[in-house]
Amino acid sequence: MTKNRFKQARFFKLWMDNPQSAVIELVGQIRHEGLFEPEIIDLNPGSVLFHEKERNRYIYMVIEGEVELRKSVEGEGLVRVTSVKHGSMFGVMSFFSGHKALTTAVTVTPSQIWKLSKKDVELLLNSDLAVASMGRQLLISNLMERYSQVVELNMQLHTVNRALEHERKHLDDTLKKLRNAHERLVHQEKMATLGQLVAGVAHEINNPVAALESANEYLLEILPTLFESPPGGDFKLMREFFVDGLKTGTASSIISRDQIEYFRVYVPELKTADIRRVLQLSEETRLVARKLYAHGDIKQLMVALKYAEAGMHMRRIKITSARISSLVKSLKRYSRHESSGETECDLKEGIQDTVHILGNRLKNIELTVLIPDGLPRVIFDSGELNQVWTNLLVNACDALNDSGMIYIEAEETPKWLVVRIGDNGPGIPEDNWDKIFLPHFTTRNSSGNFGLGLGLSITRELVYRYHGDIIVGRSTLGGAEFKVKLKKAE
Amino acid sequence: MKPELAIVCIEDEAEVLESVVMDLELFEDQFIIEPATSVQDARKILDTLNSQGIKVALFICDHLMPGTTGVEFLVGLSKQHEFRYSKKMLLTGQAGLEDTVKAVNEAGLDFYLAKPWKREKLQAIVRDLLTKYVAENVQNVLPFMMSLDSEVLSDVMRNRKSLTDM
Repeated sequence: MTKNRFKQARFFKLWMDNPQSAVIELVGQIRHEGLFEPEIIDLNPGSVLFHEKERNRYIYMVIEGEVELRKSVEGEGLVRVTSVKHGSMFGVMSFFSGHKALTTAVTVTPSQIWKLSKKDVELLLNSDLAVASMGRQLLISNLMERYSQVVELNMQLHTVNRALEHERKHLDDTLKKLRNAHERLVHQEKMATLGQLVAGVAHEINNPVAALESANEYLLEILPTLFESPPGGDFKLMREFFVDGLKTGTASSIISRDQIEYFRVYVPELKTADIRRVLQLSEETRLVARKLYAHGDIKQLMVALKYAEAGMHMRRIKITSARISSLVKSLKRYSRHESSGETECDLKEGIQDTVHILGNRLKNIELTVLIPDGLPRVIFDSGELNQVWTNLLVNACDALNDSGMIYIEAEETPKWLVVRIGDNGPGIPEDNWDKIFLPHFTTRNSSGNFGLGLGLSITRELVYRYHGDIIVGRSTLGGAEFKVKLKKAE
Repeated sequence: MKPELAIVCIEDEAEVLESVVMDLELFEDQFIIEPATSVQDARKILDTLNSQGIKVALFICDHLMPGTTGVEFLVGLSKQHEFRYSKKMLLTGQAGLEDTVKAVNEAGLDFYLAKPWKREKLQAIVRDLLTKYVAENVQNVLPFMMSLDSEVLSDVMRNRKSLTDM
């Protein structure tokens, strides 16, 4: 017995140090004992010993060479699971469990394989001889080896998972940074557009403000005269002149020199300024003025004219302040931003506000706006839709160099509200039709415009966001046309 | 004395043009004030003035107007013989740097006043420019002493006298 145990221990050590030798020794021992004739085959690389999902009736031992165990993966074909080198076994699981093989075994080098059939294994394990325990040891060692492989694989898996998690976080961060950068660019573009608009609006307000300040100053100067009771106390007369001044239309207030010279004949003693005032009055009041003059009532006439002048200044104040407030109203409406998810807005109002805001930019543009009344509302945030119109109109103005023709037409189709904005400029070459919506695409040589070339890309983004569409083409005037399709509100 | 010099004002917004004309009324005894709402309008007026032998002492021009802009108009004027010596000013809020430089370099712009303006400032500038024009182009400056800068004009008279004395 002791001799046997010693042999066993030695065999185990041999297998640990040199598995190939251990197997060869076992084979030799089996032959020596005459147990059975080991079936040993020589194979070329690429030989299949058994297929996945087949029944497997053998245990295989690699004496020389290398065998790869592979498993088929959907979409990838055969994937290497592990390699079995000399001194190791394979086919063990399916042999003992009777289940189908888990893998396909293929030689990858010229190999020498020892096939043990069920009978061989039974003979080997059930014999009284030392070979039995050698065989058992071999079996257990192989299983242990497999097990340690599993442990190692699990550790590797853990490491890989950790790395993956780390990567995922890194990607998340990068994605967040990218989104932020994009938001910033969109915001910058908005600010640049807003900057241009603010400059435009400031200029637009300048004119009425100048007229307003002037009228106000003059009125303040006249007031003391008005507060004194008029000589003769004819309030009715003064009121008539005041009301007349108030009603005078703007068109009649620019009096030419010819008119003044023509009228001077009737009132030779009056100063040019006063003659101008008289000519700005209505016909009836002018007659009254002439009558006063004819009666020699020059002083009363002068005071009455002061009342008329006061009326005219008040009229100017009324008109200019109305113009300023309407501009401010449009500005407020233009930039209104309802943040409540899906929003609707009125198409005609938005376009009118945008045109109003652009004001002086369109001064030399012949603008035709054809939007029928009673169109349904569209699904779009009004502030963002105005941004779209602004971008398209400003682009058109740039292409026209601020002088030319632009049309804005809207019509309803069964599915959409379609708006077409076209100009009579040079147009856009067909090669560029898909490029112009890309960020940073610009053909402008910057002449004081603040854009970053993002205008159209952001415009399209906005349109898409509300499930609309924007298409570029040729306008009926020969230039460029942008067709914007908008979803109708229920 | 009937005025033989004119001030031509070109501004397309009526309310603003009214204000300008009112601010210039104090020069009306000696200068004809001609308002125009566009360059086209102004050109017609210039033809009429020309045919009546009236010279333009000063142009007051807005810039951004439908049709020809103010700067373009002024540049055109400086090439015309009859208006080479007229004083030219821009009264505007909308001339960019490029256009203004063009006006200075190619049209000989004499002054740029931004809108909105203070009445006193406009009147002071106009008085100054009219004085310059009169000093450079008018034989008898005496009638203008009241309405324009009398100090400058008396200097001019003195200098001219000394020249003729030589």
